[in-house]
Amino acid sequence: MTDKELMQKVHNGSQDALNTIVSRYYDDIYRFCLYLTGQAADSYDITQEVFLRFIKYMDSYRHRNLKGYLLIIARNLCRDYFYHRKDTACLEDTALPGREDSQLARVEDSLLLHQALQQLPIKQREIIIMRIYEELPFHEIARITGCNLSTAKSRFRLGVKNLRKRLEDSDEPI
Amino acid sequence: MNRYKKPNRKRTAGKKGFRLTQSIHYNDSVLQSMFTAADALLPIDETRRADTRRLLQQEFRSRTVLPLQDNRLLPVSLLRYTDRHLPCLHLLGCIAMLLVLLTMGLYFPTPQDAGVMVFASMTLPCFLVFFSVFEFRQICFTGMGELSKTCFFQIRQLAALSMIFSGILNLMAVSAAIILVGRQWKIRLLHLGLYVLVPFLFMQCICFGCMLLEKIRRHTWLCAAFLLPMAVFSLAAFQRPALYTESALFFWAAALFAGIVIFAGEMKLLFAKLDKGEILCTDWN
Repeated sequence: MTDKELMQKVHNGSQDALNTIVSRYYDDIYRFCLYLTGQAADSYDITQEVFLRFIKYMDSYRHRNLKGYLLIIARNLCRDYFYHRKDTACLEDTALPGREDSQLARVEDSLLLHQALQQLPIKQREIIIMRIYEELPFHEIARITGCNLSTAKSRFRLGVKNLRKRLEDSDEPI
Repeated sequence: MNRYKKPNRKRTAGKKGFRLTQSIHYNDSVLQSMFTAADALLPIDETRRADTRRLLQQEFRSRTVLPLQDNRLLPVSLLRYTDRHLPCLHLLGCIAMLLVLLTMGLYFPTPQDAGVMVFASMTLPCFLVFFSVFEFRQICFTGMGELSKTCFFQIRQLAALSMIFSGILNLMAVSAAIILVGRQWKIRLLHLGLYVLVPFLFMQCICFGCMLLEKIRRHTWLCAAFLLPMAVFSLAAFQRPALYTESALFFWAAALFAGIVIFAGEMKLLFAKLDKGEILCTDWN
């Protein structure tokens, strides 16, 4: 079922359609919030609030990209989260499971990635997550972030450059 | 999702097990594979997911369901909720403009008075622009944002519909004026059309350009100040017969084309601002 069909069913009161939407997009929204904030517990709360706001304001949703719509809400809520926290989000090791030797490389790289992401300015971080992780096109990213296309591209370029530099700098002999 | 692609790094066994070197190139595909790998290490807590689903269902049950309207009925809904006073005043304004031209025709009936009538037909349509601007302004500043949250339409659609209606009214009134003056004073309609449309279009550009500026947007009456320069332009053009020759037509056509391009650009910017909520507050909070 397409998003448009699901939305029409939700508008007409179908709970199953709502459950389908949550099943389809919950993981993506949670991970987006987690990569942005670095806090697992708060990301669950933000994700819940995203879907609650979606229900509250879904009358104004007009059959465009549903995931993009949810990401706009998630992005705004993450911004509010940072504003209220007023400190740099730090990586929570509890976000990752226990390290096993066989997965050491993956865990190392994931930790590196998380740490490097958290060191980026929020505007660059969110665009990198949307472009590389969510694989959204730039015009969609520009719509979600409320900037123009060239600004989105330039922030992405700068963000990737910074991210690469931080990842490369963190590859130190141990 | 892509399979995890290990970054190209050299590992040599050392005392603590591994020694990393700095020969890593983090291109986009490597970054993407790092995200994919990180995802695999981020299981979703099913308890939290279930809690969210339960809360949403409770919220959904308490919500009043408004059935989604057919998109074809959307213009009917838009018409139902728009204010009809300004469009009626606009229509009266168009009729008044035509009546003024007809009345002037009684006082300047001879072919020698064609210049006066051309001047009048260049200046009078500029007043109609204010109706368009006031209709647009009314959408922005009279709580339509709140209404759009309860009904099935967007401010953008409403603004577009309003602009289309006022545009049609203006064009019909201007066309009627051109035909009226052109037929009676034996002026070629194409020529007269250019002479009338150029100042009308530039007046539109100026007034809607003002709507793009935040400081002037709320004081639309300031746009009236531009009527004087437009009247002066029309009077100056009236004083120079050389501007109404065949050879000058190219410049009128070029000015009209420039006006259309500028106006189209302004409309695009205006609707982009509406979309972003810069003009109208459609924020979540």
